[in-house]
Amino acid sequence: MTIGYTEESVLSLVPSEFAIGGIYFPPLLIASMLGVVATALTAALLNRYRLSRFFFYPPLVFLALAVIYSGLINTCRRRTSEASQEPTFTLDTLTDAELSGILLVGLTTALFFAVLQRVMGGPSVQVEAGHRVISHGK
Amino acid sequence: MQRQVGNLMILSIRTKEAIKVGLAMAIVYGIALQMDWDRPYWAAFAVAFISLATTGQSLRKGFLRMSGTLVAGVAALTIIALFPQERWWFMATLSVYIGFCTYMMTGSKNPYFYQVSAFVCVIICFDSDAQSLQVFQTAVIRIQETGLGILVYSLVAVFLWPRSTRNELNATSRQLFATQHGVYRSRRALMTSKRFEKDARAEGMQELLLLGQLEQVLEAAVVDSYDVWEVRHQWRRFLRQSTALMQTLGHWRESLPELQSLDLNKLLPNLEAVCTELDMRFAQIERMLGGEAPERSLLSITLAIDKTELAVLPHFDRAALMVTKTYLDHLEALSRSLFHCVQEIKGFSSQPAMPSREKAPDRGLVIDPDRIAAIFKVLATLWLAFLIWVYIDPPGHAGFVIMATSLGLAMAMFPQVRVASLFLPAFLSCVFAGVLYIFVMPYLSGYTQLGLMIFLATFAIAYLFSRPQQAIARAFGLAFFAVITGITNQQAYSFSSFINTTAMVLLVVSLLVVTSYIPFSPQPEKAFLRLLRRFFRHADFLMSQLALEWDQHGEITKRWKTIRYCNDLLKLPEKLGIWGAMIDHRTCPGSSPEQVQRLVTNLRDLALWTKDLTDANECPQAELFVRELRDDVRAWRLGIERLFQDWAINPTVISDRVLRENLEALLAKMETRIDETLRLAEQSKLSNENYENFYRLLGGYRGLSEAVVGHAQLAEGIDWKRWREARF
Repeated sequence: MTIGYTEESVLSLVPSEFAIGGIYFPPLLIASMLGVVATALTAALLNRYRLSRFFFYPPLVFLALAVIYSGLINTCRRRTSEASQEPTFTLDTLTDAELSGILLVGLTTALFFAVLQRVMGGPSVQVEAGHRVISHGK
Repeated sequence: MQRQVGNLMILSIRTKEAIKVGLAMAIVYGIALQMDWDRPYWAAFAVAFISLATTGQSLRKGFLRMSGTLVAGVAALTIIALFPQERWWFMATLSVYIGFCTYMMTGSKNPYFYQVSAFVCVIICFDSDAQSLQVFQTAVIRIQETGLGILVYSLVAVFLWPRSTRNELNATSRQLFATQHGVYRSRRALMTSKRFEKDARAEGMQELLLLGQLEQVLEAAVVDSYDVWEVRHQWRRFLRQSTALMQTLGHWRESLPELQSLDLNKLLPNLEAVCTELDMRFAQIERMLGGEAPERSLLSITLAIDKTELAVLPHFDRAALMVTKTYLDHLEALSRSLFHCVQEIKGFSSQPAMPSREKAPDRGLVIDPDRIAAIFKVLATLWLAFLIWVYIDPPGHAGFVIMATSLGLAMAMFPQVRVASLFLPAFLSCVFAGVLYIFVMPYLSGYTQLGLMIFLATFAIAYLFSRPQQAIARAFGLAFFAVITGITNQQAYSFSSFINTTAMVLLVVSLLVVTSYIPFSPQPEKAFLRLLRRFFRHADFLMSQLALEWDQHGEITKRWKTIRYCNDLLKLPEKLGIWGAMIDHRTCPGSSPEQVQRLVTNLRDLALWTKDLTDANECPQAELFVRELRDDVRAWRLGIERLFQDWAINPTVISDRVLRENLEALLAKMETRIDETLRLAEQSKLSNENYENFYRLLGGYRGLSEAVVGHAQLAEGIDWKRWREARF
């Protein structure tokens, strides 16, 4: 009996383990590690080109990016070929659920920081004090 | 051949210390396994963490660890006994205890004792999953194993190549005094040559570092050297007086630029003789610290002022001269006292050394906001780890909470250390221990082979990471070796256990990275800006209390706040110096380390002048001065207050040129007013004390004004906008 899903599509949603040297690792562990590494690289690039100043609170952006990257990387799953029973890596196309999840997280994060940026005045907080120069100088 | 064998026997200190650690580690494991005690790695921890450079330091740390463990045992059993079934009450009480320990740990008195009291309590509470049946057993085993580790390492340190701290104490005291003598000479040269440009050299920082080192070495030497213990009170007096000397030399320097236009030889006729006498005293003290008898005794000399020359000076110059004279008098008194103190310590005094129980000066109640911040950080770590354990159950289970809190406490003591930098040493330590655990240990049989492996592994870690800068790598290497190998009599090997422990360690470090942002950003430039804001907020408050007409005995809360802010203000330049040195000028371009150092030095002057003014304001002032000068002083004070309020938001709010013009106009106006007031004062027949207090206050106004202009000048050269920019 199937309740809206075929047996194949249900199985495809279940992540399989990564095998390194015969030892099985949870896929989320590997995905989150790679996600953090990818986020660290992105953060380094954003710092290098001074783009991080457009975020209100970069540590939270780091966390959000790590979640997004981990979600994306998690879609690169190991599947066991039915024919050969040998583990192979395949880069899946995103399933609808995953795509919506990632987009939701990304959009919420972007919206959150954009709103905060607008509300708090963002990196230009220090400029507000500038007007005092005139009053004080006088 | 014999010479070659002899050369081989001459081992370096580094090798000897590594052998001691390796040997002690092998012995504690041997005893614990022989006695079939549970958790032998707790004894190994004690060896790993109390093994320091000298016997005294190790014994002292061992004593603190043991007492901390005992206190933690009692605290843990009490908390569990009070709330055996109430999870949240248990956590709340534990949080209060950990918060208290964290506050005390970040202070200067026995920080290691409080650190151990905190993390051992967490270990005992969580290791047995808070089950009352097992808690007592865990507490006893922890105390037993810690005692074993301390006892074994202490015996090894005492009997095998013992290293007394006495020599280090003598060397540090000589180095400190030589530095202070050098500082005195440079200040004297500055005064006589009249080149008053602000020097960027961090002499003050060097003095501060050596003072901290002397304090630590002294406490260790008292433990391992009887001859130091005998004169410990005199040594502590020497430490206090050296601190006072550093402060007086700092004050003296800040008062020097005011003397630029004065002919000091006319105003202070015996200045040269006084300075030479001070120089000779410092040289004699240095000589005694080097173990040689003094060549001459002290001469009695007092700095005199030519009153006729003084009378023709403008009032602010008179005030500057009076301030300088005060500091030179302080130096005279301090050098005399230090001379006698060192004479007693080194046994050159004709009278036998009497134990002097002089008490350290009381600085009043000090509440440090940074220590409160450390409490928030540690408690956030404890609670997050606890909730993760309860709701997610990460690798390591309750061990996750224990390790997160222990490392969180350690990191709270060094907020400047970047937590992310722990990933690599933690991971490599786990890999090293994992290789031994998976590939070596299964092939060993009997304690001879196991003991040899323990000795070699420990020796390698202690030898490779022997420098003080490698302390984190050394601690991680030794601790994770003990945790991952998990040596017991019924040894089992499990790859998943190794992977789980490694994952737990990495997750703990990740959690610490997150909590390092609580409550403030750990980025050095952000921390610098935060402390700078606090500096000016406090300075602003203190300025508001400087009103001449203010009744100092009126409000208790304000008085308490004044003391608190004053203490914090004096400490802030030191903290700013530490954070300033950590700033990465590649990510924050537009400033150099020298600029930051100069800014910090100027802030120290500003803090000292503010403190001087606060003290001077507490002296009774003549009614006449208060009445006549109230409005002018008020205008000056409000101007400075407004400036401090603005600087708390933006350090480049006003250019130094505009500021100098404004302040000079204010001071010139005040000068004219003072002339008129003093004419009136001649009729009123005021006492000498009234005049002295008044000039002290005037010197403060002038000095603070100069420091404020100096800050505006230095702040203009720094690109603060880049420092404020948000970055990852």
